[in-house]
Amino acid sequence: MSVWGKYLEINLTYRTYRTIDINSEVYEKYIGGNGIGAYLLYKYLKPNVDPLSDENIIVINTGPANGTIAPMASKFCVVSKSPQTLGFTKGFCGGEFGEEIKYTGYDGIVIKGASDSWIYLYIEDNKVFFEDASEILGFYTTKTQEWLQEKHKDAKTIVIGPAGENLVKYACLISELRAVGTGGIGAVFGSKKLKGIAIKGSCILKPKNEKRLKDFVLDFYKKVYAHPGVKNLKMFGTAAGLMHLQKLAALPSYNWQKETFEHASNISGEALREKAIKDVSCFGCIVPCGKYSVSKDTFTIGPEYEGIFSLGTIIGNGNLDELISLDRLTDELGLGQIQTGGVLAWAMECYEKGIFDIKTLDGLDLRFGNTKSAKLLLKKIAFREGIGDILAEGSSKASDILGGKEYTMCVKNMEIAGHSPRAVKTQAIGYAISNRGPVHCDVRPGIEENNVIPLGVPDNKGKESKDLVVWSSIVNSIIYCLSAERVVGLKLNQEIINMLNAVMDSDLDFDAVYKIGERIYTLERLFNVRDGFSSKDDTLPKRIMEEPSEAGRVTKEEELQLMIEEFYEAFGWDKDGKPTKDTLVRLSLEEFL
Amino acid sequence: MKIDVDLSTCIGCKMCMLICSLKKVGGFNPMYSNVKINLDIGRKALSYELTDDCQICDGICEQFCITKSIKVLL
Repeated sequence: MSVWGKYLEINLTYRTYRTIDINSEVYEKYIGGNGIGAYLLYKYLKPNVDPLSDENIIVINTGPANGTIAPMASKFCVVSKSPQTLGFTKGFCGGEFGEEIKYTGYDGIVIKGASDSWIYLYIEDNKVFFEDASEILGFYTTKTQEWLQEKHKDAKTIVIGPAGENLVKYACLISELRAVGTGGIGAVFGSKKLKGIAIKGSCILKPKNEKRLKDFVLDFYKKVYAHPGVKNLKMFGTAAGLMHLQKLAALPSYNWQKETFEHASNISGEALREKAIKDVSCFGCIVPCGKYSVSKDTFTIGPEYEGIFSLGTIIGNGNLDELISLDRLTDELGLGQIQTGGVLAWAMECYEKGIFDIKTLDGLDLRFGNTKSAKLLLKKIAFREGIGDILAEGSSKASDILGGKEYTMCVKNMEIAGHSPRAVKTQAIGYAISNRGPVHCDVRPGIEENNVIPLGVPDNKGKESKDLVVWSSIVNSIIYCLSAERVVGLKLNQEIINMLNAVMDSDLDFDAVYKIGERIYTLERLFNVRDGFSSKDDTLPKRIMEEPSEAGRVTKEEELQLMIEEFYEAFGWDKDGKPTKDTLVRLSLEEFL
Repeated sequence: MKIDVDLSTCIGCKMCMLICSLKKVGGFNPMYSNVKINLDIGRKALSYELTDDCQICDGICEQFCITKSIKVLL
């Protein structure tokens, strides 16, 4: 079996738990991970629940590849309703926690309700223990995990830091030194008074067809390291493309006022290589993209490209030691890096332009590049002290109080990720339409950044973006790492279908798998439509649409609208971004009509 | 049969543990593996352990170690 067909439902309010069976039709329609997470979230939640109330749920789950030897299948998925966007959210994290879920005999966990006192969960196979967490309140994430592992030897852990405890709207989850970064799911944990989960399983996950799976894996081995993209990933991690973006003039800096950075070479993948003492991988992953990097005062895994963007280029920081230090500090506080960097960059621009002064910032001289002040501010945000209490709401909400709305770089109240929507038109669409806010992981940027399809022109990009979203929906449901795009391709193809079939011992063809991807992303869309989202929410920050970069690039509103309309039409959604009845029928989503 | 693990090149993927568990108990769960790779929180390999049972197979862990960090000792 590659899946168990059951989930563990835990109710924090009543401190009870039970097994829920998921029928095989649900797996056939949604695969797992992202797909089943979206299905469960839609079914469990009433419309318009407060994300930080006991009515919200958290689904932590896996796909059929996880826990097996399927290469690069190391991630797990977390789905919930976001306190930052107030819509659907999902996040993915490497490490080992997901596989351990599988070894408990479940494919996932559904967490309902809220505790009335701080607890952590210890899950051992089919038993759940609700344990007091008052002793570890305020602990940083590494110390929390060490504390849990001392109590529960060999358990795998996922935790929040002070940011999650204090309901910072962009708080993340941390497992080992990796994160479920976007969406603010750390705050959802905090709202439930759930400090973390330790898990350990003794079940044996039998492959459906051992020979087929082993043959697939050994064949994959033969070609993976020969691939040029993988060579770069092994050598430089996800920061490999930073200097390429600099050459393209598509490397955002100074809160997106520019798209080149004069200190880029100081914090590039090549510079990071000098700090890396070891290449490390996630569980079951044969491509060690993790750079175990050491600075003068700490170490981290990474920073990843998005960390270099958010804690480097957009805040004007070109010092790699400081970057490593900031990378680790955000993880320890449990702050989602992309949004944290976005908030810092916005506050820096507002400060330099006189929107607010040093007094408003509790005495912090928050000029671009002042990492000492940035670190102090991060702690204030995580603990909601002084100005940190306002900034903990995100830059969009903070600007309602402090001013500087025109400098916020948000879509759906969330700060945008680090790939240029001015230069990369598929990314412009991706930030605008993504069901979970402006991320780079629904529509992936690599295909256009590497000129596989033409960079910077809008033609056909709506249709291309649909193919990219279908691809990521499938990959995130199987689940394997998006970085495998370098090996298996940037769009759905036979290689990916072969992996799915090897794991499931199935014979799905391209059309069947493509339709599953369409179904999953359309169901996410339905969740948001039910909660009042429409095409008016699918837009870009004003700066991207009105202020050209130094290369003269801009994505004007009219251009964006045409691309989005093409995207909607390709998906069978109407002009308001709502899936049509015909589309729901075609995708076998009639139950959501 | 015993094995030797070069921790300096080990990437911490634990593929050896997965494939060993498959060989030993017919399914995946690294807790049943005859080889155990111990990692720090950043997944740097610190040490490895072998059980007394690590002498019953054909060295499948070596075959599945992509970095060739595992060597079977005859």
